[in-house]
Amino acid sequence: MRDRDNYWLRLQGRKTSRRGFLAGTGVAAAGSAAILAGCGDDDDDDDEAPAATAAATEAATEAPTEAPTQAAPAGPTRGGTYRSWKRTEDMGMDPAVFHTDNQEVVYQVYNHLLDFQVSKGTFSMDGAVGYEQVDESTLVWTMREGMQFHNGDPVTSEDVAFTIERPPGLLASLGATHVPASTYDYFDSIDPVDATHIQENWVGPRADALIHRSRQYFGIINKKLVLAQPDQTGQEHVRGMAAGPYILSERNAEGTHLVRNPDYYPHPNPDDGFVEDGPYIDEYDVRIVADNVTARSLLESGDLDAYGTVDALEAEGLEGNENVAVEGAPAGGWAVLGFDGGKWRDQRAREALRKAFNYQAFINSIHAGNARLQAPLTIINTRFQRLTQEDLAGYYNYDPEDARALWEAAKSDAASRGPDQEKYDSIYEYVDIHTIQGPAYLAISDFAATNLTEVLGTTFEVSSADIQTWVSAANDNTDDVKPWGLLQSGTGVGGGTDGAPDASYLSWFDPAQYGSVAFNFRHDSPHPEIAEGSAHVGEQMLAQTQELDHETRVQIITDLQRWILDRAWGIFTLPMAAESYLAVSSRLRDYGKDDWFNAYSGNNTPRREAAWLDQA
Amino acid sequence: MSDASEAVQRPASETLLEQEYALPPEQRFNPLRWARREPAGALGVVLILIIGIMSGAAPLLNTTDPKSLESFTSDNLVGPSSDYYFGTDRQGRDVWSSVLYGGRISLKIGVVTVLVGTVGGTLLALIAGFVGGPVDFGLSRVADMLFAVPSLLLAMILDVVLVDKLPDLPALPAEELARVLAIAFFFMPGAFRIMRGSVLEQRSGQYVEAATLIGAGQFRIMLRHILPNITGLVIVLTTISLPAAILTEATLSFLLGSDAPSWGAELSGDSRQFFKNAPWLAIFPGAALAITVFGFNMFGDSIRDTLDPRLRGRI
Repeated sequence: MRDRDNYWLRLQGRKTSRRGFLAGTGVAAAGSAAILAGCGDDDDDDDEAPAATAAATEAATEAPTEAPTQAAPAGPTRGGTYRSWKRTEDMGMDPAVFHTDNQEVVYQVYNHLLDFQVSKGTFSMDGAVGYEQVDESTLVWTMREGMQFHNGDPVTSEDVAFTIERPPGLLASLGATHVPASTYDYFDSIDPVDATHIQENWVGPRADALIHRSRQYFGIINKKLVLAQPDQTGQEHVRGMAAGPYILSERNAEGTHLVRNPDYYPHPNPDDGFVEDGPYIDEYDVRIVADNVTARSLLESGDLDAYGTVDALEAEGLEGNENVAVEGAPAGGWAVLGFDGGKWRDQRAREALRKAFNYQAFINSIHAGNARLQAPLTIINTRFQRLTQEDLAGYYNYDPEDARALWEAAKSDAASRGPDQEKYDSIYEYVDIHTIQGPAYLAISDFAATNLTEVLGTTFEVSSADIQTWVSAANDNTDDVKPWGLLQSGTGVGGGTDGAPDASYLSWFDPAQYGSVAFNFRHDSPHPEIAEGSAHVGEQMLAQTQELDHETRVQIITDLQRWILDRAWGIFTLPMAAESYLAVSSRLRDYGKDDWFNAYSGNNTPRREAAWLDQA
Repeated sequence: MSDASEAVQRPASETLLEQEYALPPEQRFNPLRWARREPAGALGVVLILIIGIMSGAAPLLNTTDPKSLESFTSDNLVGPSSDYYFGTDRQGRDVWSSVLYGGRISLKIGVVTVLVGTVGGTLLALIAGFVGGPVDFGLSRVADMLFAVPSLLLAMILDVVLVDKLPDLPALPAEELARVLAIAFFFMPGAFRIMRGSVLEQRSGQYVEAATLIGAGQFRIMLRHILPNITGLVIVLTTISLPAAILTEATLSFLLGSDAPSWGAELSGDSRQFFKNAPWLAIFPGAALAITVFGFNMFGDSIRDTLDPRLRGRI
């Protein structure tokens, strides 16, 4: 009897028991784990790992397209489907209302008067064949002949004039639009002079008018069809609304599909980015892919033509894949923590946050040790940037003791204020860092929360949402405080600039734009110091856009930047990567990698009709 | 008889009873003998103890608190080495530290969840099984309804909904408390159904009839007679539910993320895109999870065999 209690005897006489099954699978799992662990790095090269990373990164930068170029044909070939991705469905189709996750439509289905090549600072003519700046406040466009909308309607000067003058009306009818008022608030009138000429009359000079005209808001739209819509927008996008190189053939929860416009107009003597008989690519297929990891897998397996920007570590991971080409490009974008001006009214609190931030640890951890400090005007907009890294280091210096002292002083004053001020002083108890769902965003916010909690002694926590919810939270003006404490945006790797300074960070401080809408630094702030400061920023922003002399304009911008930095105003700019990479398929050619970083050229769908796919 | 003689006689009768019903020495619980009889269970205990002690003593084991600024370093994605036993992640954080600290969260939530789920399910089963009638019917139908809802989805919804509504407890912040309640809710119908069957079985026992005849109240019968007789099943249920609870916690952390380091959270998010080039990011948290679940499975199965030999070997 005792023998039957022996485990081994029982085991012998047993068939497959639950325990046996569990044990077997457990041992198999542990064994597999151990074998895989053995495949990891060994002890010998741990000291060399960062150097190896850097070397591999360099290799990825210098010779990323070696494999595909071996088979590259002599010249461009026509055809093929460009496959890209986006995270979520678009919010709408009207280019003057939405610019979130609809950029393949905004830039490929719609066309513009011209395109701006940020890397070269030059304009390429598209819907226009030329323009004349008659005087400081008069601009005349000459339209390209033969353009027609996708339903066959001819594109007239009336349509173009309507396109340019439409945004202010949208602002009035919809109550809000993402188009900054400064983009069009200088219009006096827009007049179609004849069948091919349109005259813009402004109330005064505007330095960046041409750059603005290349932005998505001014996608040429069919006046007749828009006026026929109940809300007079192109949000539903009936066919015939646009005149661009591609026609929207499908739009659903899986993504969008674009097909070549057979009646697209030719570009004789084309400028950079265009070709006479373009575009070369037949179709666009933009899938909705919820997360980066899946999108990256698609790229690696050869099912995606554009993944987008990656940092040095990601670039290293893609090295050697024959389906992928990784190319170095100027680092662009931004990474910021925006203050809610309703709560961060005390300059000491804002300065405390800036001094509490461990820049070197952030650069080491997030950007693998290779990053630059950011000014209120992005440093990649070099034509307007005079502040050096040394200048910026004077403002962005880690000093935890001083930070804590400033924070405690601000907190002490807040405690002495009455309970009616409680909602404005909640940051001294708890700060919600609100960010977008995505690994890079979360990594930045996680670092910031850990860092600031540790140094300032107040709890900073991260909350995240999809892009559309995040935008809603950013624009939530139902109260004079925001539902968040700090708004995190950007990764400091991708993104970019459109070349106009007021749309390259500076707009974030502008009380006529994001400064007010997103960050509560507004003229009508309940806090007098915020209202007064906003008035100053607004005046200087206007002054720089009206200044046509470049050097004078740069001086205004530099003074404004110093004013912002002296007061830790508006948003807190985080260091950005010093180098960046584009991950695309090895069959994609001539896609204009430098201008990919034009923030308004379209996420993973840049407007470049010269791009082609190697079908070999 | 005098009171004094009664006082003398009572201990004597108790001693006799003890002698009559006392287990012979060879039948008393002996851990070493149990380990020989149930080596797999003993292995499970050893694994659980190793993981538990290492997680508990994490600050003493050459680690850096993953929630400290110090944990962020420039050694991004460095492989396992003498400096970083399990390598580092994308942000230069030590995976060894994350695994050990993550074990604290995973084990804590797993254990608390099962306790809450099993105790809650058992109490409801006692009430339903003993009171019967509409109470039993109502509770059983609620359990049936909950079975009809995809349980993981229910747990995810509960987790998201509860997290902003719960207070931070001293040892259980709101996020962890929400996760505990979400998973416990997930387990409770199962525990209820199993325990209710056992309560019904016990209720028809002769000892219950005897207790009823001598005038014992229902509450007393429930607590003093039935509960002790189903305790073995409660223990078995607890031990076999633990691995499932730990896995569910890991699943929720994987899907929903977690502010605190946990094994499931380490396998999700940014880490995933580096698994191919930095496999240690998946291997070590995954292995810790697998070993813990394996340990609890072995232990639970052996406990079941020990407490209820009739079930030995059945799947």
